[in-house]
Amino acid sequence: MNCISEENIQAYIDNELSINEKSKINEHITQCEYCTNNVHKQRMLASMLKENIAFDEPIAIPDITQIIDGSPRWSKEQYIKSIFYVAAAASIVLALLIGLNKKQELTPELTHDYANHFEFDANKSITDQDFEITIIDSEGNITNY
Amino acid sequence: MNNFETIYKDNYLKIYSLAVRLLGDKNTAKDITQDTFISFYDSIINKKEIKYPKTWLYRVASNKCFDSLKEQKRYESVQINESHLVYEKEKNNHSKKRKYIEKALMKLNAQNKLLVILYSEGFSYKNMAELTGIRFSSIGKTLSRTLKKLEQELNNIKDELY
Repeated sequence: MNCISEENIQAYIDNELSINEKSKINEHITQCEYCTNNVHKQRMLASMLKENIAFDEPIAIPDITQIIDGSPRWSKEQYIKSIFYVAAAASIVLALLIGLNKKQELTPELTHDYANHFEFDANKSITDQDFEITIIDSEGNITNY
Repeated sequence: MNNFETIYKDNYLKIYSLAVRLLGDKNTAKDITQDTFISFYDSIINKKEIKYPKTWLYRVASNKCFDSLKEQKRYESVQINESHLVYEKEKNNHSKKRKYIEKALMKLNAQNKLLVILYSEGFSYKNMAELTGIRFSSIGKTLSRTLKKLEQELNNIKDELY
């Protein structure tokens, strides 16, 4: 048998080989020092990593009601997104309201009737002339200028 | 309900630690762990059949972590930043070793990192293939190469320090 590949050594130390394959490797490593060393090295590396990657930081498991009562169902990211969406919607509504207000300002005042009393004085300039305008709106309110 | 509680208690730390090691960020890991269990709870409520809850949780959590990494545009290489490391305080040589391994893990791409984490948790090759998307026949090869690479990264880190 040829020397064992790294892939097969890995599967061998992880017990992922069939009984036949395993017995062939067992047979080979009793005669091959090179492969015996490789098996040993890979086994040491695997166990060192397994031991040190294991997570052992003590943390408290959050209360299960956080999951099942439906209260804090949103993650932080979802909260940020929702705030963004609400802010965007609010800006649109605000813009629409401002737009509508401006439109209203431009709407001419409805005038029901008007009259003006104007006496021209030839001795005065045009800006010094006296005149009076009376406006009666649709609700009957009278305004004098 | 009792069933859910048992699964929650048995797996919370495992899922959280998977997320922390994949992301290197405790806050996002906490959110993703909570999201994963909410999805699990919703699936139970909606009477979806989950044959292997532990594998299901690992799959959902790792997918959520990958999505989060993609969102942060650091899918392939996470910037090594001290604040990303889980073991912030060096109390003794043991935790120092853990810190180096954590740092070396961050050098791997997300898929290989997941493979190593699953390996350290004792998953079978079949489950590792299912969870990582690597072909079952390639798990042994990928694993041995990844562990070698991790060892090399560890040596580089030690060389940098001493």
